[in-house]
Amino acid sequence: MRYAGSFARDGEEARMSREALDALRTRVHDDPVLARRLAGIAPERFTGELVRCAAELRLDVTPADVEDGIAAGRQVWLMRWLR
Amino acid sequence: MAALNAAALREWTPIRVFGEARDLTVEWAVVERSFSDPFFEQTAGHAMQHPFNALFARRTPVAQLEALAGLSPGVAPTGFIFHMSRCGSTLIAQMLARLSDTIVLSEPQPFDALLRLRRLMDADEELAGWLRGLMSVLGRPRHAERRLFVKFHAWHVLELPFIARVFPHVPWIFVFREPRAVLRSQAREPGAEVVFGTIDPRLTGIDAAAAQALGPNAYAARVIAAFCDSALRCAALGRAAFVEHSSLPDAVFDSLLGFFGVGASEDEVRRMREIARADAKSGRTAFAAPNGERDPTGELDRLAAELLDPAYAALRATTSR
Repeated sequence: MRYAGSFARDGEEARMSREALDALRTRVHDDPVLARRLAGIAPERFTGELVRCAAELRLDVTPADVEDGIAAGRQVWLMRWLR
Repeated sequence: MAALNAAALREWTPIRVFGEARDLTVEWAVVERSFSDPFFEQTAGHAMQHPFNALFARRTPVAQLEALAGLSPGVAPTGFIFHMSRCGSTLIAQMLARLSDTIVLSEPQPFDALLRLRRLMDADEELAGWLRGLMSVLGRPRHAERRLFVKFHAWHVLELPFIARVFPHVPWIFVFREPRAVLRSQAREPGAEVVFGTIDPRLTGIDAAAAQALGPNAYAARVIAAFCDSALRCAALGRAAFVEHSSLPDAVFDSLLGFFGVGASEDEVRRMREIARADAKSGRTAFAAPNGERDPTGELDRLAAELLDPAYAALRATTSR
């Protein structure tokens, strides 16, 4: 599943957002306080708050990439029996 | 391999081990709630439903577990629970999970993954280091816990000599039950441990070709007999106790807590009695031997008499010593 409107985003803008998400992932993995803070966000508020948190860190992450990343992660978890 | 940053992994819990024998990966998640579900997989699955873990779950090489254990040690294991399947071991685990300050890991996948590799790797020392590391990391207190129990998969009793060598000072119990009841339950709803192909039949002493020729009930009976025989052979390894299903739940209060050196407060006893009144796996129906399971051909009775009754008698004899 892709976030509404994400098909329209292509090229440079999408690439930069994905790079920002990767950078955010590195920050989360390096910083247990940040990890704990983000893990404590209620699921229904997660995407919005994550995008805000990324902006505070000067990382331009879009809601579409967050949602795509969540969907991909859940898919990997569901498929774990098939490996 | 990147340098290990133990501090960065402080909030993370290993929830899964996967991959090939020499290229194993540990998957980590931030697990908010305590491990109090009937099975480890349920708590891990719940954690992975959170968008944070779906997005940020991380992976490390398994070899880092051992180093991490040294940098950030967890609670030493208080006790291990082995069992023949369908015999009340989940009830015991659920009761122990009602103790304050206690981690209970019920059939954790990461241990299963590592123990399955033992016969493939032929590298016990390396595997032992990973197991100790995994135990230590899973035992890290997240809510000021000071006790750790592990309920193993039924087939892990076949690896008890190895487990006892890796964790020589941990007392263990083996839970067993009248074999006809176990076979009826397995015939009605087979567990993975008695489905051909889920464990190496050679572990149970059954030749693979012969195992394929057995019917499902006969295969289940042979596997379960191997579990019981292994427990009996290991009786002298460390501190061991044998617990019969019919003695539950009272045996937990009368002997098991003392055996494990655990004192329970009135409130903890109340919580344990409460969970004992519910079915440990579903949480719905009362804990009691299932009724009405039939054996119209008499096959289960014959299999029990031939393969399991001698072990059952020997197990019962251990409880009366």
